[in-house]
Amino acid sequence: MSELRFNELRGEHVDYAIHRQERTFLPARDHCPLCPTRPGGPPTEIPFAAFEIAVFDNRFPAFRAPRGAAEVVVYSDDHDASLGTLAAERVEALTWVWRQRYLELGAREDVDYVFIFENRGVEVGVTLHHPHGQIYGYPFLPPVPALELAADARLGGCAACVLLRDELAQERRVIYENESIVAYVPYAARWGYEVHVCLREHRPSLLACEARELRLLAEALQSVVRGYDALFGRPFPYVMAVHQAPTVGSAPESAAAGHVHVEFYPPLRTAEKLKYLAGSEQGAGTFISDMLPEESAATLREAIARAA
Amino acid sequence: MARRSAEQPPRRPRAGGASTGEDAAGALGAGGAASGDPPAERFGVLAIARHRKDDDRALILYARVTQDPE
Repeated sequence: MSELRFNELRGEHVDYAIHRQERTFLPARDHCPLCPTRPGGPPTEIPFAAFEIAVFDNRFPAFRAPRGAAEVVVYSDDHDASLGTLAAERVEALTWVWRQRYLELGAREDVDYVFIFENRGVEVGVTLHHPHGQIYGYPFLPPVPALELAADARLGGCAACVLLRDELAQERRVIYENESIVAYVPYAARWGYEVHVCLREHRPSLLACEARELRLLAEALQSVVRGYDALFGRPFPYVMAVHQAPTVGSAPESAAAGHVHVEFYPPLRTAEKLKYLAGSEQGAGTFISDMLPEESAATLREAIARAA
Repeated sequence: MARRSAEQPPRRPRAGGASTGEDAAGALGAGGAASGDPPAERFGVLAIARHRKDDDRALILYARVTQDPE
């Protein structure tokens, strides 16, 4: 049972997907539903002996046709892999999978926003350890991308382009660069080790990216994740969010805007301490941070260098 | 003012209108299409094989092909 309600006080939707209460929760390794189906083993979501990247409709969807979509993207048949440890070619292929899903889901009448994301670590609520991400096709424009469009209007152009230009000029929060991609801790980061990975060129979505840019995006994402893992010498939990242009056909003209970038929200503020969303964050919508972005950027630069 | 790309997101494009349409790839390197499934599609560096699970949910297998689109 799913029901979408609109919270008038906050001006936002809440999705009630009651069936998700029953979803698989941290199963034993030999009962992982995202592993290939082994001879004599239990059935899994992917009934093949091996695979590279698999995408399937979520068995416990938050959204489903005719009001949206929810897909699972399995990065590898290796249960112990991660975005950081996969071969470079596999992560490059993953960016093409994202692009293909954006194209296909974005073409649907009931999908206004294609949101690709990964939750990593029990600290952010992961229920399956096998390396995977998800894609939600929202039947409306969610608040965060709407805020980015509002920032475009406020800044008189693409906000991501403006902010990237500022970060490159100031340099001190930039943690990684290649020919096509810049990664930085934003000037007003909400999370201690928040990182934005941004295309240098203005590309509304992955569809507008050249093949070379996708390869370099994959390279940048792996560098950031490896740096994260090197930071405290442990798998680093995060939420990874891919922001692109909305796909709604009836939105205002501004909806054609967007600038593909990937945001990481890590909950750790030290090796053992989590940042919680408490009174000020939840009740007043104002993040209180214990760390300056310039300092965490310096730390992350060193960690990325160590992991290289 | 930031530069805008001429290429815009899919505002309800035709289904299957991939910008990198090429000849269908051969069999997938891993897994492979089950007997009776349609031949694999090609999308950029990907070969795509579409399946249906027993409960009719979609399952798509992607495999990287060796020849880059560039």
